[in-house]
Amino acid sequence: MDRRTFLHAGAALGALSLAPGARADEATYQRFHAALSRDPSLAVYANQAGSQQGEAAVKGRLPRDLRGAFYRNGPGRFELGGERYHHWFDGDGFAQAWTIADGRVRHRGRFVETERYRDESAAGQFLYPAFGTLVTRRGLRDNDTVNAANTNLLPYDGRLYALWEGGSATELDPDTLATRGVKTWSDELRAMPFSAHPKLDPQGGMWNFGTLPGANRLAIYQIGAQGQVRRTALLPVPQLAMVHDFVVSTKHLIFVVPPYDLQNDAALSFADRHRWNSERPARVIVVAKDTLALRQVFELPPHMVFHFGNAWEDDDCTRFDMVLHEGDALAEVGTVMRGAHTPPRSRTVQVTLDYASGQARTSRLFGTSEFPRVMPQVAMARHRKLALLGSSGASPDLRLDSVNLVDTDSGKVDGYAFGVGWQVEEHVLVPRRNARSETDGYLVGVAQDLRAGVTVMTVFDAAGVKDGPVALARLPYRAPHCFHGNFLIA
Amino acid sequence: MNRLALLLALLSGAAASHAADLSIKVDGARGDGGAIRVALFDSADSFLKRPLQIASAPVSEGGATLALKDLAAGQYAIAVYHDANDDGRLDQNMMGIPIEANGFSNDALGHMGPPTFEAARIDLPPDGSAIRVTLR
Repeated sequence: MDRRTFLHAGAALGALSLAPGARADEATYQRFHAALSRDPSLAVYANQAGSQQGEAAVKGRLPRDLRGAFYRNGPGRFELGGERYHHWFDGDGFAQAWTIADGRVRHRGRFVETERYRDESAAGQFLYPAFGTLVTRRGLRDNDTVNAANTNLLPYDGRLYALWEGGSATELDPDTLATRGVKTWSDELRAMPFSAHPKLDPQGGMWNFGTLPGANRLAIYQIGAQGQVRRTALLPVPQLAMVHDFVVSTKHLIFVVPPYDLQNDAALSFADRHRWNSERPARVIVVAKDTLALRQVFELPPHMVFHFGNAWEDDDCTRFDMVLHEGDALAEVGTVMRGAHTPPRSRTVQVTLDYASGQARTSRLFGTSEFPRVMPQVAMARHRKLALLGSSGASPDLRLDSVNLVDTDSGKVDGYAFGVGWQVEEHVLVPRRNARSETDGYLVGVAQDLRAGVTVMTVFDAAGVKDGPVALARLPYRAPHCFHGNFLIA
Repeated sequence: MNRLALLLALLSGAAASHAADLSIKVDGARGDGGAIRVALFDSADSFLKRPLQIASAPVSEGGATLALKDLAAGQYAIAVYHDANDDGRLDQNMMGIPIEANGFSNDALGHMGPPTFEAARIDLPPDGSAIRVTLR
């Protein structure tokens, strides 16, 4: 055995080490439940226990050509042993499938049985550090020990993956949602961070990336249509903070690094180690797809960015859409765990990267918004329609309560507001077979009926969102709020 | 008299210090290829840097049993890994995370990194000891 081998492994991992010492979060539990008794709409962030299965009651006309499985994922378990997580991103993944067939809509929800979920269920208490809650009751082997598998659910090559961002994908059974296990694309990529926002290439295959806290390195992956690893790269990025999503054009992979200073304090959770620094710019990092090398870095005013729409090449510029947040949005989205809803301060913009001048310009597309999506067939190419959730302003705390299709050329909005008493989740664009335009299809999503305390699947015609949903499929129960999902056409 | 006492002390110490054997039963390997490699450390300073002894054994039924002989009674920590591709090193991914199964005495775990010497520390009595390490 090579003595230096142990030395090297120890040093590399030491950079990511956390100090022991659990932080009790019974106080968060108490605060949330006190707030929930005053405001029942906070049930959207309540703890889920066990699986769900049921049939939704369909109102309206379910399009005959809309058939398939709508896979979604989000955090479901926030509480264990009288304690509650501090951040919305902490909970264990609860995978959901809405299956549309023969005019009926069935729903199934099931926890992803990660190592963390199994160990903590057996122990009856939280054991491991979560994104925003530092728990160190038990040691861990690597980042996959704390994998929450709670952010996205991706059908790919006949398989189904529950995605997190700090570790591996977790493979599920596409029919039963039963957990098959950690996905290792290749031995060399074992336990690598694999983001929850891979980008499917209409030409086949997918692109993804990964980062780890404090590593200051960005890993890039190109995966083939059959799951084979085609190319990988590792890019040094100084002062690399949380990067949640990226955007891809025909020529470039584009990342935005928000201006967080990462505190090297082992007594803090990963989320709490992020200190907002409005003195620094947000950096736009452009990587060439052909070489996987850094092409150019642009600067933008300080903003947090979670999500992107799509990117396309326009002569010597690249254009893409993204949702900008004012200030420390990472901390603000977590406050719902203690029952405090922080009104979002966001807007969606189109960014133009001018390589010759080195300037990045932004132009406004939409006000308070989140969860941008485009039609899959226009991914990485010129698009003109961007689906966005918005806030009509009617709901308290600027809750997301509207569904919109924005024309990115004219700025014209085709939107529908559910209004007070509703909270909408990500909506995805589903093309009709051989779709001839970006509105030739459906806008499908989920909305929480806060007054009835039940969850509803929504279907809009993408050519007339303002006319309201053509169909609503209402469950007899409340399903956990999801972050992201994808529609697999049957 | 003082010199005799010193001599006796040295002799007895020497006798005790080279009597103890440590048997290490390792299990939890993924597959039967390659070798189980073990390193023994005798202080926090040398932990994962300068092993006092090393040993290897082929994998059989997901594990191996190795013996480290003629050790002084005292405090040690053991690091083990399954060198599945038999290349003599603990392979890592691009981010420096080990991709081959590994483990430590006491089945100690760190927090995104190896455990401390203290967590993996075992006491080896003069008449030897047998421990078990599960690879993860």
